[in-house]
Amino acid sequence: MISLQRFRCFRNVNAISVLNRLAEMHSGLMPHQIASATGCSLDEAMSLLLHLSTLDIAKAKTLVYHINDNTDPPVSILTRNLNEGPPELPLVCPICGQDIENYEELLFDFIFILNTKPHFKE
Amino acid sequence: MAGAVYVLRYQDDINQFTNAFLQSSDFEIEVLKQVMRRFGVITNFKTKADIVSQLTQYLRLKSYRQDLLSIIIEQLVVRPKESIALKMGIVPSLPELNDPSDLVISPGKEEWYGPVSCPGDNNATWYIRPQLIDYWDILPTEQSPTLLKARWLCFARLAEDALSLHWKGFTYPNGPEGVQNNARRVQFPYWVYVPQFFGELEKLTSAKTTYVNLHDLFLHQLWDTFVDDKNYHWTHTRIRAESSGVSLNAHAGNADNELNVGGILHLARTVRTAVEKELAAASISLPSPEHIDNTILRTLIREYGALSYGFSLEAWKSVIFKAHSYFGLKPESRSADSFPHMQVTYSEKDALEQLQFVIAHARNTKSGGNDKPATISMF
Repeated sequence: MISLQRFRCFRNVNAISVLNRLAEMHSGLMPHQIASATGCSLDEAMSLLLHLSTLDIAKAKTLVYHINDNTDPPVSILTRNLNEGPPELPLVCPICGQDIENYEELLFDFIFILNTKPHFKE
Repeated sequence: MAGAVYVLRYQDDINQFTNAFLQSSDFEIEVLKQVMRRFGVITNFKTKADIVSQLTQYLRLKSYRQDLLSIIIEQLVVRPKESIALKMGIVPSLPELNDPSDLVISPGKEEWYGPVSCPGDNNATWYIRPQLIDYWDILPTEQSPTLLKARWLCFARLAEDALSLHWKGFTYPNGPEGVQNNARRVQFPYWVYVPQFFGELEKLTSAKTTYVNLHDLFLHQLWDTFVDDKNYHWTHTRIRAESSGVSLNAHAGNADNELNVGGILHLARTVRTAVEKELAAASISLPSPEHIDNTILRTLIREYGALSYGFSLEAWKSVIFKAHSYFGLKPESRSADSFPHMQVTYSEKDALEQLQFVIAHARNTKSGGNDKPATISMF
């Protein structure tokens, strides 16, 4: 049972129910996913996911995107452990086949892979 | 894509400059006719070129009188704009800035112009911000593309506790190869400028505002209020989402199209029907198909990592709100997802009335809580 005592925005029945549902359905969670599902801000979502990470319930990973990706919304081209930092360059984009030689061509986001299915409580 | 941008030419000649501006995509024929009506001039011309010619002759005859130029600016402000970004908070002062009439007869500077009053919007004050951008085009006397400057206008509305920016987007050739090849045109990156314009305005007006949390407002507050209310009709029209490395972009066409009654509900029904058929083969029936449809919709729209969402809300066959809204949940993305804004459809309901609807409901909900779109520090 994960206590949400320190997270004011999630301390209500609706938010707890949504978080438990998300954890049941998904193997990994992204900050914007928590935000759009609960209505909280991105910062609040990130705080919760980092909390799960420190409890070893979730493993933080970096998602790497290529800015030339014309998919809408873009999809990630690489997933790396957060502690590994950015990927080494150059690399070839597996989607468009272009060489990527500059970090300016990359964007980053986070996903937290759930090691166990957490159950949230107030 | 409809748009609004004026490729700057004839800067040294006030008559030619004004004529080219009125001919630009900043004005539709109806806007020009409204200007003529307010001038008290009757026009029987049908084409844009003829109306503009009559209009510029009249302006020349009246020596570009200030009150006439002000009417043109006011009609430019009244002209509906589909894109709206909204911040709320305290807007304490309405400063006198550059004279907006200058924008009719000259390119202007990359600064704020105003105040401007908007006919029919008496409780608000408007300002205008020109942005000059590189624009490739072929001049009539030349064979190959030339790099020119174009002027894009962004409009600010200041009212009580709300500060909103309004604009029309456009596509343009961002290189010489895009001039004659429509496939090489790109969307103007308004997301680079709009958040910066908010910053400028907040400094000029000493405003303290925060972005309205659109994902909370639309996916939760309004959804919970209206979706199940039988007096209202809510149609899900678009969802862009990303979850676990899979992105989703579902976009319903015209809701009146008999192929797609009910927008994205059609997608949910198709999935449910397929599952229902499999279960029927095993002699299992779904207890409540409608409930399953709603569960699929809720999963796709609220729980799959929505980045933007489109819906229409109607009551008594009249549109209350119809928009595709970006939530600003990828602040580092250098795309439309980097800050919260709405793209309203104004053919069935006035854009400002839809903004008023959002403002009224945003007052009852919490704000995003940040001075800017929430950011995540990278590495």
